Amino acid sequence: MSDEMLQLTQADFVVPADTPRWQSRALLVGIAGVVFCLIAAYADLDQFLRGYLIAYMFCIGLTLGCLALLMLQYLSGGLWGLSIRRILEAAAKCLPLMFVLFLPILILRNHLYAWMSDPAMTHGNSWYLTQTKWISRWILYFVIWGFLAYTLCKRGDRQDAPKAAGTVPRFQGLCGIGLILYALSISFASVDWVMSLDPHWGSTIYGLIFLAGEGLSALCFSIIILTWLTGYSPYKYIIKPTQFHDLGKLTLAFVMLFAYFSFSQWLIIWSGNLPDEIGWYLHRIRGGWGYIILGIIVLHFAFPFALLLSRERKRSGIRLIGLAILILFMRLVDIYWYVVPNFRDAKLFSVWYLAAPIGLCGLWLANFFYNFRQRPLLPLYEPQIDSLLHQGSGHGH
Amino acid sequence: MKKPLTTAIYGLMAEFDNSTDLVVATKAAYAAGYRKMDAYSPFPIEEASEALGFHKTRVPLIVLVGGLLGGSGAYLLQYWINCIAYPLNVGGRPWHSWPAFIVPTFEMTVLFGGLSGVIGMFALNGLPMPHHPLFNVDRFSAVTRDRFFLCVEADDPQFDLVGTYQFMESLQPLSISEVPH
Repeated sequence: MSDEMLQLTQADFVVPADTPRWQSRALLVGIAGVVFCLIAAYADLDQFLRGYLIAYMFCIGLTLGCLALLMLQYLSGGLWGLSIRRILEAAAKCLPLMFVLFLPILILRNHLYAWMSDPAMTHGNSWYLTQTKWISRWILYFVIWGFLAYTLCKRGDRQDAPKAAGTVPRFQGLCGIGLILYALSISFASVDWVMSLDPHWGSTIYGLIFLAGEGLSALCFSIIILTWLTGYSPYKYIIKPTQFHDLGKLTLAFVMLFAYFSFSQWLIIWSGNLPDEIGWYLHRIRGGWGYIILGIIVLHFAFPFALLLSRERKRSGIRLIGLAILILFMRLVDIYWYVVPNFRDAKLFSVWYLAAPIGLCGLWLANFFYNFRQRPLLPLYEPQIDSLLHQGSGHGH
Repeated sequence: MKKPLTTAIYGLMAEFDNSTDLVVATKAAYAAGYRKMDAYSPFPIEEASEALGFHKTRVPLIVLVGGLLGGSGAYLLQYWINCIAYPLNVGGRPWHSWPAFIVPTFEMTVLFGGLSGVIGMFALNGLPMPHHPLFNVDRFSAVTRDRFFLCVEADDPQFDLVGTYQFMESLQPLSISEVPH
């Protein structure tokens, strides 16, 4: 068995040959999207910025969701995490891009957040919602996330050298603390960046809804990339239905978790029926918004839930990929339903909403593929790698 | 002489000393048309379950029916209590306030789904079963340590004492035992 191991080197786990082509395609879409963004910003700055915030929350969600899953798989172990570790790392390394992409929101914050220009709006929240604190928290979030992503990827690099070359890096302690820090920071970030669009309204489960959504995005993205990889040698021999089964089960769990958090928020506010709180929902279930939330309930929860119950479907990447794309799209729709109705002059649809999602997703994907190309796709010096490479030969795991 | 023999025993059992051989043998037996058979090992082997065609059981259907019954039962009970038996005005809400019914409905779906899964699994496996014919074979005690067994049962339509014995020999096991009832 170990003889067989020695024959495999890192050179065997190269990225598929057409990755650079995908990278340039994504970059092209991104650049076209940026041009579209400039036109949109010139034509209707307010509508464009709303689309930009949606796209930003979606992309930072993918990045952080992948960072969180990376920490989770170091903590829990398991072959599912091993097979997608490089995907998660490449996505987490998009953080510097996300830092830069926040600058338009920072510069044009007065156009998005009404309380910035009118501090009287913040009422009793004025101790929390001030511009200085909002900006310092933004810096703090990125310090935390950047530290976690940088340290984990660096240790991952160190693990990729033969053991004789240095000490074996340790992950678990950092990942345990990191997951707690992530849960706290994303709660505050979602309050700062989305909930504060309506400075009167508050919900304590808000951050968890974003957290569940980010985990879901990251899982769906991993399923898509992993399915794409199984079209190429040697991954088509290494990645087994068991890995997709695990990812599928986690996706089902996150679909349910997301629905559970979202429903809890609704149930508590509905039960309380207080004028301060219920208006937020009344606004969002009337008129066109009602159809949007109906679509979210059906396509973000009921439909994926029913399909993911099937064992056969969870075990096949090809049968999961359509569902994964649908859920990713519904993530965008869900964030849209959270962001847009906050504004007094909110329009159900504006063509300018589309600019930023195209541009940001294109740039993000290009950055992802660039990061993805830098390393061998499987961590060959990971102690568990043996069981990934030799599963199916009758050895239990 | 032949007929009493085939009904007199429970089946034929082949012994292997590693899981790979067991999986290979199970696949070969399935390909040869045997269906009423089972594999025994010291630890769970997913590949062996697959080779047996093990996952096509009726447990998921039982869980689905149990879950649906539990869920609809819980909802109807709440409907009956709140709208028919003891209507109570809570904060001016309608009697049929469905959002408040969802949580107990969900809980009862999970409870009844889970219970039907366990009970259904016991029923389909014929449990509790204080004794199993396999224990009549002394060598079988090694299954909890380092041996792997494949047993083809006598009531498989394809089962033939001589033919199955020859087939098992072709799998090159450590031993082949007749399992008496």
